[in-house]
Amino acid sequence: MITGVKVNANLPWHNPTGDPFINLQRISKTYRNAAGEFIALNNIDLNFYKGEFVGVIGKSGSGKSTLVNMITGIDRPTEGKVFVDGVDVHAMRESKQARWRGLNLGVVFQFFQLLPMLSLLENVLLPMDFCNKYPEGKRLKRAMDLLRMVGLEKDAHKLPGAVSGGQQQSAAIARALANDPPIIIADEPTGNLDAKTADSVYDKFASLVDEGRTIIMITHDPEIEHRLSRKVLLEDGEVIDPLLAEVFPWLPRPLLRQLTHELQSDVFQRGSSLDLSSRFARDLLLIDSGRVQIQHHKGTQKDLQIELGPGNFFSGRDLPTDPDLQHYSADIVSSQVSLVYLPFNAISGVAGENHDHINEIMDRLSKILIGQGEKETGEEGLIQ
Amino acid sequence: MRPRWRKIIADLWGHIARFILVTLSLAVGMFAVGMIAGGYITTLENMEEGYQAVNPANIRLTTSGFDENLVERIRRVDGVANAQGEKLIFAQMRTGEGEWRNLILQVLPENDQIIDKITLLEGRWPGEEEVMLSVHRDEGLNVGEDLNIQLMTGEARELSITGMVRDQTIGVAGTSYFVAPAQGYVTFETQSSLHENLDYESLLISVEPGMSSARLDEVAEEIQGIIEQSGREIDSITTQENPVHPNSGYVSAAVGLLALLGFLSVFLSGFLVFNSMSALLAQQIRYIGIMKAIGARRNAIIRMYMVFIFVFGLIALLIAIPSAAWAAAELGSFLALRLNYLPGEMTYVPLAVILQIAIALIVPQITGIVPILKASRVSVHDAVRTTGIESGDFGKGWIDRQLEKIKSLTRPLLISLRNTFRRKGRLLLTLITLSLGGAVFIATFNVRASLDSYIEQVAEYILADVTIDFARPYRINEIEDVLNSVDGVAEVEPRGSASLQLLNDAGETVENVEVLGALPDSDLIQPILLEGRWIVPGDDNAIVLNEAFITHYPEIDVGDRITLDVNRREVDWEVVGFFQFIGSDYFLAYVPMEYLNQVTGNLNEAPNFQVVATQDIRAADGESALAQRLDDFLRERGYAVRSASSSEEIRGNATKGLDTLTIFLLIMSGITALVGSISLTGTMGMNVIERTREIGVMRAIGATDRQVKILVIVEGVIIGLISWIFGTLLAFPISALMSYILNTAVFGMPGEFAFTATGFIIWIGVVILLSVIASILPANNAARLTIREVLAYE
Repeated sequence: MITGVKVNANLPWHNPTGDPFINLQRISKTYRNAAGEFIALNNIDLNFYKGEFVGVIGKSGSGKSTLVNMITGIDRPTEGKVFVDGVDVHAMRESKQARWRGLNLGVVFQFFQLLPMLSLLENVLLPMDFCNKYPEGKRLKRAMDLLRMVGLEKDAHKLPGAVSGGQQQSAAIARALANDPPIIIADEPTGNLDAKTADSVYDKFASLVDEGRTIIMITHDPEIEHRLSRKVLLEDGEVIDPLLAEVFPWLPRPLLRQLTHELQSDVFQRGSSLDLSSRFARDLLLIDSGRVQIQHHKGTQKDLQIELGPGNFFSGRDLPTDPDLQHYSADIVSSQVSLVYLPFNAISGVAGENHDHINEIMDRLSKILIGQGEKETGEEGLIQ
Repeated sequence: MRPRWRKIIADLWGHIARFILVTLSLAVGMFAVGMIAGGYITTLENMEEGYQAVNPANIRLTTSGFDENLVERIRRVDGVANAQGEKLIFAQMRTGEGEWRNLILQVLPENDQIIDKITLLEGRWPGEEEVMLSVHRDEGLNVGEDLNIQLMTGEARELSITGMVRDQTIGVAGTSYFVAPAQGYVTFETQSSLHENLDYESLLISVEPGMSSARLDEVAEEIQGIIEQSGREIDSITTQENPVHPNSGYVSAAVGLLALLGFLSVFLSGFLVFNSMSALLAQQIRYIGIMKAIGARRNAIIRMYMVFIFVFGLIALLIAIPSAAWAAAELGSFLALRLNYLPGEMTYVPLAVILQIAIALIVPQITGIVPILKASRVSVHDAVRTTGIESGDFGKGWIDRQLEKIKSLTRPLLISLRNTFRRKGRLLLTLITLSLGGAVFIATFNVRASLDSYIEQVAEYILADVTIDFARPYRINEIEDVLNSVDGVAEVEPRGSASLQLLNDAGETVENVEVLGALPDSDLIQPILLEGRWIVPGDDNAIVLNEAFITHYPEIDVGDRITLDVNRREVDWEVVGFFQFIGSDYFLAYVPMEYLNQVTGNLNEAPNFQVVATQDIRAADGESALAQRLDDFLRERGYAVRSASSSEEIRGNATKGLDTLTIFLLIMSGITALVGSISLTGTMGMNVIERTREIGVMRAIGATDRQVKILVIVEGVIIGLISWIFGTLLAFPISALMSYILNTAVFGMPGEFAFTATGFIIWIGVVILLSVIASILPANNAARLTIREVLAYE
């Protein structure tokens, strides 16, 4: 597991700097019904930071909505705490929480959920009426400004039923912004829209992020991924380690989830060497940050030198270890290196009978070690 | 069990709150119909059968003293089934509160009672020096206590109370039931110890069943002949072909109102059932789609849901039938105890049960078939797709467009207002139910106002503050002097009184008429004239008749002459007018007192005096105390006072029967209001269920529990207020109809129709309160819904 925050905005698996804006601590949620218990979220620690545009991704039933509901206070955790801007969300009484939510979170739903008996303008005014943040005299102008921002000023007095789905979603975004909340929570906001309309919705979200708002969005849409500042992958109620997901995107998510449990980590300082022949002989090593220089020696000759950066991986497994004939060495060449490592027997245990995944890893590993499979990263990348 | 039936059970069980709500709505509808129909029939039957069981007399006559030999002689008359002698002793009694009141002691026949039988309710039959009391007046005395009486001679006695009885014939002869004095029952032995002579004074005769009116008259004539041949003179005689309970007018009014309300309640229940069923089925559309998707055919779905509805109806029926029968019995008891007949046991009236079954099993099916057919036609795609919030009908109609124009309200208020019109069909039915309930409620007050106006009319004839009745006439000057010497007396006016008989052209007695002699220029009477004029100074044999004559003798006109038997002397009177009094069969006439005294031979004497109190007594509401003082004062001086009553007391007694009807009406209106408010609860509950997603959205965007509750409650109140408007409009015809039924039954004529703002004002308060109460449960449910549940993300 990656712990500690590194300064590197270009590493997608890294958290931004500073204090977390939203902090989930050991969140578990278990539903009990006639069929027994269902664990929707399992011991999740997760942070979100100001100005992030985070996508919560996972297949149906993975716990995406439950996770988001924990943040909004819509659902209560069985265990754990959620802090939003230092406020313990679930310590509030429901009514206080509703007002807090109205002021701090703007919620955008998949099916827009505009109230059909109110015009678009009235729908936008409604959260202001509920929360009384703005004086009455200023509400109308603000609502009109928001509708103008989403391009609906001409349709302000129409009922939701009289406008298109895209326009309804735009109005819903305007409604979510009514009380100027710092956080927008969106549940598959484009799930019911065509691609072009969806794109315009994403543009609106992007501009909101530019304004400094934090957006947490549940999405299935692969098109959006490139716009996100970070992804949170959920599988069976657990967050997949983002480095693992980044390094092994081809691995099935259930496998990634299990591997997340097996991760260990360590930090090494410049000048130190990694002992590939004994300590790391049975591990797969993933570089979280920093640089490692791998050298291949034949006798006293150095015939290969590769510098691996964050997002790359290597291993001491099956490497020749006779220092007189040939061997590999791994040296820390940056000020420090944060490594995440997985024992191969753990990988085999998780993969079970299916050796394809291990073979694939080994295959890529061997390519890296001959200088063909390194992953390019935001740092300098490969140096031969 | 096949899965489809298991699904029905699961549907019922899975939404237990909704199931209870709908079942109760249905049950309340059926309950109202069952109770009203059951109450209608049992009330009529109990009174009719109960009264026949006392074997009421067909012929009643009063004559001078006679004994058992004459009774035996009459029993042998052809056509007579039985005869019984009776005697009444007039006295005063001390009530439990220590006040003196009039008492009539009826001497029980030597042998068993066979006619006008009384029913022992508590205790035992009396022996010597013992008495039973009728329960019709609560004088604060109980079995085992002593009854202090004062005879007309002034002698005081003490009798032990052994029992309480119900005498259903009180009010048949003499004064009406509600003003009838306390009545006691003593044996022949006790009578002799009271120093009364042992003769009977009235004769009760029952004739063979099914006797025609003409034959009854023949028999009455024959009996009259026998009595006259025996040297006695007949004071009064009345015949009744089919004797009816003296309060049958009130019962007719009550059952007439029940019939009207029963008719309304069938509609109310129908609407309630329809509303509940359509809302329930609206929730099932998605399941119908799923079932169609997995191969259910339309007929199978229709069949399933018809069974579903049947189950609802059946369960509601099982609740409604016994509770309605119980309530009908309670309603019957309420009327019976107040209108002096014996209440029946709780019984299942076939018509009521059939009506309930019809409403339970037919109305839901009829009302359910439309939504079921509609739902079964829904395409699988439409049924199963999740589209977020449903818009309902809002936005399509003229009303919606008008509501859209309202911008000045806050959004939450706008939501409540516009939500009200989302489901217009449901709104309409709820409005009809609640408006009808409200209309009946308001009408109750209008009817009461109409009765009050009647009471005011009666009061116009009793403008004096105290009325003193003596057991015999006293010299006018003497009594005036005595009374004027009492502190607080401002004015005294004598009033003559005689019980005379109206004779037909053949000289036969046809009615007993209470003739009152008044001073023509008296300002203590302000008559309500229907025709002609009142008596004026200078009149001799002028007579003004009450409305009973108009009803029973429409051929008598102003200017005609009528003949009254005055002490076996035929005296002609000139009809100068008709006045409005209490209607019914009570024949009353006013004549100049001087002329009445002249023909009755009571010159310068009067048995009744009207007293006007001084201003300070009036201002301090001291009329009752004055009456008591005058009573004590006169008794101390040896005058045979029958009663000294304040006008307030007299008016109160006269209107007791009307109070009973008003309370009855209020109960009825309460029930209709209850049906209406349950309908509203159902509607609000269904609205909330339908709008759970919206409620979730509102909470997601910052609405607090309180704000959500207020939204729902305000919507309920808006519906309540709209229903108030319709209710007030509907109240006019319903008030008119109810007043007509009531006045016709009680007074024998339509009566004056009055409106009062009271009902309208009280109902607006009640309807708001009911709306709030009806909305609280759905509102709480709405506030309790977790957003996760209602938004159902996954």
